[in-house]
Amino acid sequence: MKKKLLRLLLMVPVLATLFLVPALTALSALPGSPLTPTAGYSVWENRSMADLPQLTAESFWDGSYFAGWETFLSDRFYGRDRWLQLNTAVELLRRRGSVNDTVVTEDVLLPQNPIPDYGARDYAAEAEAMAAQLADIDALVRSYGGTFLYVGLPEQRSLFRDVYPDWQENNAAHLENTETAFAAAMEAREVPLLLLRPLYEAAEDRTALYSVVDHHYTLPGAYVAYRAVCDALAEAGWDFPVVTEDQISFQQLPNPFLGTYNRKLYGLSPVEEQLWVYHSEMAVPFTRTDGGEPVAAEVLDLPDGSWQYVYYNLYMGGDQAETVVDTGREALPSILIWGDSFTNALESLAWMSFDEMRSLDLRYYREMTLRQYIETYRPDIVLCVRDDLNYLSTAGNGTVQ
Amino acid sequence: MVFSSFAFLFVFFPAVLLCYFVIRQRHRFARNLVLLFFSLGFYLYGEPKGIFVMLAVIAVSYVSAMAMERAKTRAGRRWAMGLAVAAMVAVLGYYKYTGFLVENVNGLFGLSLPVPQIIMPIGISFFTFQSMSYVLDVYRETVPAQRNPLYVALYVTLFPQLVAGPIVRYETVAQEIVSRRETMDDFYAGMTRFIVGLGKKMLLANPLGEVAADLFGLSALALTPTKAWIGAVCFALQILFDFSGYSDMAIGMGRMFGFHFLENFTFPYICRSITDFWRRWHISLSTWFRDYIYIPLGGNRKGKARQLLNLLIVWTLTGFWHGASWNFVLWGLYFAALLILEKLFLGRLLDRLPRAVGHVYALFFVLIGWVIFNCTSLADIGTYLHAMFAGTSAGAADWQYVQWFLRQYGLELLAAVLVSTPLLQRAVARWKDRPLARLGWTVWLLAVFGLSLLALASSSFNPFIYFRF
Repeated sequence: MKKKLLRLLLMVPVLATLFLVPALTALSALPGSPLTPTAGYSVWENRSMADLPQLTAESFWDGSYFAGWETFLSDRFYGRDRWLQLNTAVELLRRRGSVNDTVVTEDVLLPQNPIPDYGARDYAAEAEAMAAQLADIDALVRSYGGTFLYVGLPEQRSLFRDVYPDWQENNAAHLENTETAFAAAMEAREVPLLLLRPLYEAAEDRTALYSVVDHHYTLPGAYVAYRAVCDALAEAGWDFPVVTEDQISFQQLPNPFLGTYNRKLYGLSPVEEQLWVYHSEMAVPFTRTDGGEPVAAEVLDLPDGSWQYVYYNLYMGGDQAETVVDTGREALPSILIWGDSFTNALESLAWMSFDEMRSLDLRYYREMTLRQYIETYRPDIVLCVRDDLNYLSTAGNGTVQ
Repeated sequence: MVFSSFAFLFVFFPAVLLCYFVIRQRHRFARNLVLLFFSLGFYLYGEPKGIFVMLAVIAVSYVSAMAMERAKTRAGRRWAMGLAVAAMVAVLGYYKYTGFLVENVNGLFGLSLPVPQIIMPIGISFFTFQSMSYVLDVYRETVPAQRNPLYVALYVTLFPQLVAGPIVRYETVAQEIVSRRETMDDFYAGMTRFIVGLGKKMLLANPLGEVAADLFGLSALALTPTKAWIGAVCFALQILFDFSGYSDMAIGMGRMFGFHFLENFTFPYICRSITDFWRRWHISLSTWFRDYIYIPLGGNRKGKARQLLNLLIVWTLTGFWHGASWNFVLWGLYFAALLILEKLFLGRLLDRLPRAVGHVYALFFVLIGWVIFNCTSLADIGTYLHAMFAGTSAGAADWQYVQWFLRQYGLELLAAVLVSTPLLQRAVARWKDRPLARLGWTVWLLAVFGLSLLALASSSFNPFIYFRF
């Protein structure tokens, strides 16, 4: 082949790429353009794409204006999703240990764990500090005749720790140390603790109870937690209606479900799953407020059509700082549930058993401390729902004051 | 602005290519103005406030060179040169070393002087050294002073080498600034070089850098010998491909615009001694120190003792040049010690031993050098070296990590090791001019370009190590 032709074979595609990408990006942003611009929100990355930076004297001189351009361009270049999808395809083809920080196994997607670096941690001391705070809350709730219960759930990577390939770090030692120390500290302080990992581990099909593409449980898995909590509260002397298996039916939505891990694979995940919803004859009329504002009386945020992506935030509409579901049945106990997003699926079931269900997410709630909140509303039952990755964490919902 | 960014690849670079080549070749001044305009824009994008420091340094260089031209006495020339160099050293010292100095004075004398928070202009070490090179070359009458201040500015600010080198000597490009000829051959060769550099950065340096960052970030309790050695090897490969990739891109872009910069790396990891390593690594910096510090101090012309002292001075300065931190000083002294030993007896001994011994010796000490370089404190250096040589193995967990590392980064490691040697070049040398081999090379380059862009699209881990100097 002639030398000149070979040169053109390299130069033309390279130069075309360098010039076409910006040209198509600019053209797609024009009003009425036939080209589809990169969306302002990425469903795959679960975040809004950067907007054009605002030029001010301050932003110019401190460099943030140009930094904003950098972010804008890398978020909005033409065909971004396809590029990322193609890159993911190449990575999957290479069969790397993890692709986009996701460990791809035959049946389950799991997160890539970091290298264990816990040698300096004093699990017993951390657990004792956390248990001491929880004991204070327990004492406060008991002081007015209520019941406090800490519900410990396994996180998805914890329940499926044995699914990791042998050459992958599964953090089992860290998880065991955390749970053992936490359980011991809670027992020493006599704080009611309900650890649900053994229950899920004993299940015949764990993948029916825990998501294979997301870090949460499934709705049937949340129902298992709900029943276990109901049993524990009944043992503590509370009387309320429990939604039994024959009073509830679960159905899978036909919509594509984007969980924490399959979304990272840009639609190329070999493992997929449908999200569950339920129907129950125990559902009663109720009102709902989020952050004190009345909102639609719904606990499942259903999609408009079967073509839409659905996410775990279908349950209770996702994480809310404060939600109050009031069924107006004053003869029943009231309940406060606080915790991370594991509470959402549980709450979408639990409300049927109580008069008023309050829900707090201390990562977002700023009006009062947890203690002040309990003193103000004096709920009959207080539940803390956390996963085993966070038993010792004092951040977010571990800020127990 | 880094070369491996969307802003550069898809806005800046196409814009400068378009504006530059739309002007006819005979309008050299206009083409140079385009390059100057874009180079200033390139710097402004990354460092809006720092541009005034750079412009001041350029002004000092220009005025000083003109003063030398007009000086009637040798003393006058020396004053003009001395003042300019002193001013540039002062600028470098103020921005780069004030905080370090105050911190150490506080520590040494138990004082609590406020440590000034001075933001260091990006690439200050590079543009001050280039400016000094211009002033010193004019002083030595190697080149005449450039009468057009815009051309002095172009020499210092030329965007391919502005913020991370190579440190281009004025004498190298003096002629090309005023009269160069852009050809299709050069454009193609430059583009090829640019793609190779981009691939080194995106496909080798960044992935291996992730491993190095993870492992260097581990606590002493988690850092086993296996992990420590993997971390050191990955960092050694990361810094090679990060920096040589950047140099390749700079040299490639320079060539596309008709400039011929000198090489900055020639397979440094095949060295047979530390002396050999420094002839192959960051050549533009080594030769700068050799020509402007070591030789003026007397080099090896004033006896052995003076030569060794000169080496010590040069390597202390080299360490300091890399950063205002004791680990860099130690790094410089470490290489000074090795070079002195080689000058005294080790070099002659290595010459007599099999080549493999030299390679192992040099690679071992280079690797230890990178550990010193990459640890931010003396305590961290001690911890890391202890883990490498006297740490406790984690047994099965280490083997698990090795398996994971090879599955995750094995291909990058293999490619990095191969590309760091001339083996591939030698292997294809016999066939490289055959048509099929040329076609294969072109397809390979396109694949590297495409994969680099895909990596860029998905990568948020994209720091250029040498930007911090």
